[in-house]
Amino acid sequence: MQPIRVTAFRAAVLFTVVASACDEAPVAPRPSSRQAVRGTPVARRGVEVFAGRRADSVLSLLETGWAQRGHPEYRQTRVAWRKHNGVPATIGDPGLGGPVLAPNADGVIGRDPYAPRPSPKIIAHYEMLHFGYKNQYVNAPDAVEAEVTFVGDQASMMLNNLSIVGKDGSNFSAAGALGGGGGQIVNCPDVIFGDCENRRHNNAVMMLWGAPICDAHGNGSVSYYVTNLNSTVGVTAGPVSGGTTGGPGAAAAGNASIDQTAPACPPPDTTAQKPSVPRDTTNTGDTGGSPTGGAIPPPAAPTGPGLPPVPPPAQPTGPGKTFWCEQVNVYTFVNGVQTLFDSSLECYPET
Amino acid sequence: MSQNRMRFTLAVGLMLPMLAAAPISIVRAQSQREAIIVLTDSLPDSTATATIVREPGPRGRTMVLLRSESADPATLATALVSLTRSRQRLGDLPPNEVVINLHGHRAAASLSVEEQRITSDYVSRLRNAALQDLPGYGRARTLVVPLPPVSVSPADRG
Repeated sequence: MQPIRVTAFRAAVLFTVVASACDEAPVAPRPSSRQAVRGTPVARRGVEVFAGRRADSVLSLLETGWAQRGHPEYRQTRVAWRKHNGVPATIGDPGLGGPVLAPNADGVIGRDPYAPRPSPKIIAHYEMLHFGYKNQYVNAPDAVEAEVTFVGDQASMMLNNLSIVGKDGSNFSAAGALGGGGGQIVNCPDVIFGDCENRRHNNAVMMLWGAPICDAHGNGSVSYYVTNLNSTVGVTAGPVSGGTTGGPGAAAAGNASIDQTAPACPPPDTTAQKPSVPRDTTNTGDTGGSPTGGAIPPPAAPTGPGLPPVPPPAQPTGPGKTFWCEQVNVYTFVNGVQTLFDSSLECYPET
Repeated sequence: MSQNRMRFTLAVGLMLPMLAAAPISIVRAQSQREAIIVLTDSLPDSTATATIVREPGPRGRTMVLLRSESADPATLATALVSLTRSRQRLGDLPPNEVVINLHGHRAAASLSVEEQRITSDYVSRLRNAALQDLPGYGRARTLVVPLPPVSVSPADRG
């Protein structure tokens, strides 16, 4: 008996020590380490496009930089335009509510799928070229944002011949698709039973990495093209300049010019100081006859995102930052069917 | 005799809690404090750079799906940051299934030395791992990695 009891006792003690040692031994990355591997800074040049909720998330980050340059009204103007056109201040969840019926509202309960469809129509559009801001802590690039509310199944937005020329001879040009698709249903109090004429909203932002941010002038245009899907009548060929309302099954198109002058560059020794009073002007032309952002005066009370806390001086100035995004979908089971319960999307700077 | 009984009682008294605690610790390590990194040819969202799946329940798995052709330390580090954020919000036992699709990733230069070292090691081991059957996902190269403990943010919880 004696040897057994000693063995059991020793085993218990040994097991205690081993179990205690093995319980917590994390080796995965810890966020506490701040020492970073620094690569060779390479100035980013090119364009990057975000649409829908991603555009909203990215814009909220860019707007802090633009606000530091003294332009909180960029956000205010956009929010005012959205409010005026029945668009939520923040882009909704595409997995819930109306947009889940994209690309067409034919599936709406109570609606005759064979009933005449409303003709494609551009209700309102909004386009802006914002010049960036860069100092010791902030590096917000130039960006073009565009939004459109429309009647139809889908809309595409295209940036045409954007050219930004600096006084020092620098030149930046960009063109291409800003976004497209069904977007989100807007201005409809009852998505399920209400006849909302298939009103939708699209938005996008194109970041212009490497474009001059001061002492420069930029111009170009944004075109919009709205169509219905599953049309029995052929779509008219090509966008029609000046803004149109298409017939049943046809398309509607519009075009708006962008023309903006950047503020003067600050002296080299004051780049890290408080930005001066903005001096740029915005002239948003409209050949489509639809309301634009320029027609909506910004609200008097500042409601911008506010200035972020100033980071410690040790933080170096990096190259142009871009973003990565995470879309979080939470699913639950309803009557045995896996159903989207919640969805969110956030974007973060890549550094 | 009474001394022997006391020794026996002490030995049993020490062993029982350990025997009872060991399975709990093992289960917790498998379900909550570990993640399965999966190297796959395609992701559920074809536009995503990585996908994180957090299954509910005490036996739910946590999986980080990486695309074979683009798996690198920066992508994995981005996924681990996103996973940590989700664990801080929902805890280690999410009440519902959570699917996180990542688009883009952190800059390689933004990784800390430790992140760079560990994620490079993980990716290297993952690429050399044997193909295994992963229930629900088919055959794939997998690597089980431990996760550091996180504290749930009261603000997110509320």
